Amino acid sequence: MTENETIQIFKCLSDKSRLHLLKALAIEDMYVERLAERLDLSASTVSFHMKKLTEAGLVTSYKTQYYTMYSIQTDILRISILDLIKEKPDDAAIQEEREAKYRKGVIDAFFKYGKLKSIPAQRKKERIILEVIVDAFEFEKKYTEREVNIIIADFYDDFCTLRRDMISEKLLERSGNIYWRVQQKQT
Amino acid sequence: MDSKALEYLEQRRAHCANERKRLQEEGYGDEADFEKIKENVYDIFKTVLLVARKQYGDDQTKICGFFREKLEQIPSGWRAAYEEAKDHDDIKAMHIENIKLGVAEDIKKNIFQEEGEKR
Repeated sequence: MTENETIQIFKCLSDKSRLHLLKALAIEDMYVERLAERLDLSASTVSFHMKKLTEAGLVTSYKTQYYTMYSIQTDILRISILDLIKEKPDDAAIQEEREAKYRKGVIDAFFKYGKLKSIPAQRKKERIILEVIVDAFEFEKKYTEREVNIIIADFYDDFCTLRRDMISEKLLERSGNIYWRVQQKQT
Repeated sequence: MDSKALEYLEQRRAHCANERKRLQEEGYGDEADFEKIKENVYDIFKTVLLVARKQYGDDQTKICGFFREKLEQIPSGWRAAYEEAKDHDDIKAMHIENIKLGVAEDIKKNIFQEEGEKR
């Protein structure tokens, strides 16, 4: 488990409502409305907390005929706090985690539900958003300029700027009117 | 309408601020944040009312019209954000928009219901 994952668990547990939800789930699996009734919370508030608990890996859900049932993830909760503290951080993993966090921050700030809100002014950030968009292109497939524009326009209206920037960032290559995605070398 | 409405908005805002403090102290961090959202919404409409007062002086009809219009206009953005979040199954955003819409409904119900009863 990474340090960030550990912190996410502690943060999750540091809210009384979530602690009460876990206590209720430790007795039996339950659905949102039942938990809401038991803890005197609104169903919407319970769903909010369940989302956080699920993201932290503390609960899991499964579908039954009528309801989505939630159950506690006993494996994670059995790990002792001492084990979590003792876990030795791996430098490469820390660096990787930092980069992933930065990347996620940029993506969250510039995209909303898959649409680009604006083009970042910083080159490093723009590179990240271009990498997200280029994922919509297949490798070893040739695209006409019109096809490229249509794909990019799905993310952002100013497809000309993004198309040009993808070329200059070497994410796409072109020859005449034909474009293709470039395989990135592993670093 | 405006002085009673203003009093109501201020009362609710203060109540949310107290609740937020209490919840924070009792370890309900996220619920405290939800109260902060409510507090902000009451504050927004309090500002709207003060702007209306400044703009229309003692003209209660115009103040009421302006306030009603904003009470429809501002939450329409929240409603759209709620629907968008729902389309993307974004439970956290749905909950937050729902809280804001709930406060707008409360204001509508309490301020204008009283107005209706008077008429």
